[in-house]
Amino acid sequence: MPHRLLSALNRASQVIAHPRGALWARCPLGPVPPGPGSVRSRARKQAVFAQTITPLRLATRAAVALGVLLVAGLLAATLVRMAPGFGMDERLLDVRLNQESLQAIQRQGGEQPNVVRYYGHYLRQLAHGDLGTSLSLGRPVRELLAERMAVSFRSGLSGLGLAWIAAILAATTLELLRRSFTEAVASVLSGALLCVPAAVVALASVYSGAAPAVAIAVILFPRIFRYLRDLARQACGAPHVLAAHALGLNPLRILTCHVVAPVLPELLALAGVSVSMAVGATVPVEALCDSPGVGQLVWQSALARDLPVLVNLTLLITALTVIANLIADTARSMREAQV
Amino acid sequence: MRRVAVSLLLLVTLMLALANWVAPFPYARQFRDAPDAPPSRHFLLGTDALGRDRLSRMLYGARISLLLAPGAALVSGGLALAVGLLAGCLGRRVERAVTVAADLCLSLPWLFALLAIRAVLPLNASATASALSTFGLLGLLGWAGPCRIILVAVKRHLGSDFVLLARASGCSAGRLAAVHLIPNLLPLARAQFLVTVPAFLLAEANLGLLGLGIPEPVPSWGGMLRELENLPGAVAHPWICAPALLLMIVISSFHLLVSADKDRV
Amino acid sequence: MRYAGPILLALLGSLNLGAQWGGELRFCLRSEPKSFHPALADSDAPETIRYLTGGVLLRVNRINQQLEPELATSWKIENGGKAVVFHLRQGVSFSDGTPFTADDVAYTMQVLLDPNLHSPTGDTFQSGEGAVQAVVRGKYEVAIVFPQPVAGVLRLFDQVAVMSRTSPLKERAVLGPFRIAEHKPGSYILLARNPNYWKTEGGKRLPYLDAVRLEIQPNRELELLRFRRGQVHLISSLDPDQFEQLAGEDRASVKDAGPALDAEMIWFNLSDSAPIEAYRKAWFRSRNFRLAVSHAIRRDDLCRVIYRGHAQPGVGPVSPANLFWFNPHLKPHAFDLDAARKLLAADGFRSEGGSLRDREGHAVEFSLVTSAGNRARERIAAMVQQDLAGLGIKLNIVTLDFPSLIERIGKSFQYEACLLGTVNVDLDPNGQMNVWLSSSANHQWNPNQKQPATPWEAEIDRFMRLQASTIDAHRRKALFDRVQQLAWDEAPFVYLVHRNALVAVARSVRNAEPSVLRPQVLWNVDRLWIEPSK
Repeated sequence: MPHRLLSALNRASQVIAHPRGALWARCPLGPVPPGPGSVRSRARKQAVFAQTITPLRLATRAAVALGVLLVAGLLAATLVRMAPGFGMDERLLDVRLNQESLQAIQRQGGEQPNVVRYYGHYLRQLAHGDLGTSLSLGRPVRELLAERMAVSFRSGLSGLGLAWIAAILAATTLELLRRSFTEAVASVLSGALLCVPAAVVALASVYSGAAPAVAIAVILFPRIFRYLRDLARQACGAPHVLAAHALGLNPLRILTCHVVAPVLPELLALAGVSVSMAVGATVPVEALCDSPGVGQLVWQSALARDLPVLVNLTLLITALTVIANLIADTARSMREAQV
Repeated sequence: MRRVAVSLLLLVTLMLALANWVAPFPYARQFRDAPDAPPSRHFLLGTDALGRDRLSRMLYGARISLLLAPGAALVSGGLALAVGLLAGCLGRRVERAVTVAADLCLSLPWLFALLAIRAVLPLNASATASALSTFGLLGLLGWAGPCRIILVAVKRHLGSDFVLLARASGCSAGRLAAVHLIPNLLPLARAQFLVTVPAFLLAEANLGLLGLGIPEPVPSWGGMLRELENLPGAVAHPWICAPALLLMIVISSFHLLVSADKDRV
Repeated sequence: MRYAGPILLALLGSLNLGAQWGGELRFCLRSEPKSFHPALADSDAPETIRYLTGGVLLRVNRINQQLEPELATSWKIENGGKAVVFHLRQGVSFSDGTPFTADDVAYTMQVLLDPNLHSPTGDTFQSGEGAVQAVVRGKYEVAIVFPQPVAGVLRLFDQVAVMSRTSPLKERAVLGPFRIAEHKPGSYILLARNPNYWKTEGGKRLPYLDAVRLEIQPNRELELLRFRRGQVHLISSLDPDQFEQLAGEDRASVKDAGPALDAEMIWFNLSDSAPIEAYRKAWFRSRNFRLAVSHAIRRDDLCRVIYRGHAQPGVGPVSPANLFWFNPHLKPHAFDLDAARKLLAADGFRSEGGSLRDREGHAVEFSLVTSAGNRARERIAAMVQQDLAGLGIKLNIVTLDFPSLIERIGKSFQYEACLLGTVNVDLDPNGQMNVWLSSSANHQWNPNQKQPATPWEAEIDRFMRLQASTIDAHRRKALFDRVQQLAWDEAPFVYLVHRNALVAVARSVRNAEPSVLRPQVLWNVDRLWIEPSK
């Protein structure tokens, strides 16, 4: 133990001496903070919190987020409108239809020639709580989202939860074992998981009879695990943790008070990022597992160039991304203010 | 570990570089009397549904994917570095604008941009051109994630003692960036690069699964991974998994390289 | 005593043959139907549901392809082919109990023919000028009156599901064996037996089954997995690869019903407004060039390698499955590189260093667009690519997602050649009217022509119009044979393969008699029954 403490102290001094090294120690989600057992009192923390989260700041952030949402909707509408095949309907190839019907179908498809006008109309409708009607499914988007949100929410959330539990367990085990061999094995295994395409994971989950949530968890696990492993390694290598070990404190207590507590904001930030990762993983999983969720809707409406559905879905995904990153940023700025 | 990873990568690179000599057959040649053949002396890894030698296709496909994915990763890494640096140095407003742009970039349906690029390309454009455009767009759109991380690092450096000292001693902004910031950001950029390469390889594989990858008859890892869709078939004929295995070796080596890098510091 | 064993066995067998009532038949739909309105059925999924739920006046027997009475007990053609009079079955009621009368048929025709509905079935009824009318002549007698004599119109009634004029359930009140009980979008549709279905067996109302559950499952691999696990009972139109896999496991559960009506083909863009170079247009317009391409393709290889032998080389617009209308004198264009080279040389093409050049020295290279994600088509394209290389032609394959493809072939005409399949739901050549008339939007190689661009297209127009107004079936056949011959001679479509109808049916499903016509296994759904697992 004394030997390990010495080398860790050496490393810590290197970190301080070399900014390049310091950067590594801080990557990827922010600096490793000093231990909480240091000088700060609870009152000081509260003051920092009050400084960081002022109502004005919150309002500005909310306004910016709203702006991002509006722009995202408009850009999504433009992308869809400009994409090849917009307004094209498979019925146009139906040889049974006569000329008048074909022309009528073509007119229906090209109903929204001007994106800006369409978007203005959409926003006015939105103000009245109307999300428009799907072009390909012919049903109100609100209905579609309402019946599918629950499915995706359930599978996304449980997938996320599973991935987190697995990642935490794996990272903790590795930290307790501290063997370079297990470390390498974990690295290769998580690397291997990273190279399986999401679509293959989705298919494998169906073949093995697992729920879509498991497929989402398998996709998310290696990513979350890698971040967690980095955080854990940095936090556990901190001088105060090594000192605590040297003093013979209870390992569990060290883990909760000296390792987890200081990196909590980073964990929060990672949680935020993992939400957008989960959104990204849900689309291929649901599209291939034929789980009737929002992810499947994203894929179907993309293939059908269903403008109203896609604009609403983009707004939904943007809202999730913005909120997740907002939480991450707030956590980080709290951290910076504390340090 | 680092040595193992480097030698594996070198071996793969060598094989791919010498694909013209190593590959037993041209990748597009169809042996129509032997579709879906099992491994034999003639076809070491068997043939695909059209009777094309899987080993040759794997070597050529890997070559295309391994040339283009790092290229795209370089583009996105370079963009992330440049944008992150500018945003960090030019004040809070620019920083906020960049954050907003990154959020937008992460949530817009870029699939349609890919489709549009495909549509704009001339019909007789070569498969290489369409592959280049797919990877090019991936590279251009992949900056948002790494940029967020680099931005945090830039801000941290700007508050650090050595930058303060440099500024106090009258160092110009350009010199500050070139001498003090970029060298310190490079390791991070390199790590991001190594993480992005597999991500792009997989993005191409996913696009292949969704019919948007590199067109026939040019092989790509994405196209070959589509064979795995038939999972029971892949279990019964494990040689179908060879491309996936090679991909795993390459990506695991990349990852070992990154973690070995971190251990070294 | 010698016969005791066989007699006992036969007795046991006959006991076992007793149909079981009840049970749920499960299978997968590959897409979600956009609408359950029977008049709007435009693709496989809604047409299947219409078949399972809708009651029709006449049915095309899926095995012998003859018309059979259903809700109409008899029919008669009057007024030189201008009217069809139906005598309806009495005492039949809709699934909700509403009685079925001639009024309902008239109402159905009125809805179907509404010009604002754009019903594919309705549009086929209105082939000429003037309105089609339904005239009620009594409670159980109705006449459909056409402005001019129309041939082959009776088989269209196979696609007309009668709707109730008075039922509060509107089109949800049905006359077919099943009614829609539940729909969970993106997941499944549950059909329950129609308690008032008019057909009976041994004094009991059919169908045997209590319910049909249609799982919405676009992924074919997963459909196969569900079949293997016994979660679904049947798969219509199996992939050849999947067919072989299943055949290896349990031969009795799969059946190759022979060539289906559909065909895969290539055509060249001959449209005047196509934004492609003039010299390329000149190639495509040359009959010799098109025929040379056709002769350079090894159709046998396509059938053997891609379809594992479950396909026939493509001949023409009518598949050999169409018993009456197929022209048996036509044979597929044979693979013959020498013949192809001669045809090309006649048009001034020459081979130079392994590459084909036209009279002006342009290297012959063109692109072939096809739908992305369709594995069979991608493979066909790759094989045709190698075949054409034998002539020194460089083919570039461009896969596009379906909306982009439709835009190119139907609106912008930015393509050179296209590989696609036809889906024929109709045996009668009138169903192909819009493919062959040069003025039609679906005359794929050169749509919407004001005047026929070539003499042979004018000829095809004439024959198609003539057969449509001729009542005598054999004279019509002779006329349509001429159309098939012209299509074979001029090769506007290079027909590649007619794939076979491959189906998988679980052993527990009894009375299954798969047909090449849609809906392959389900055509006698009211008589299918499931043997309970022991």
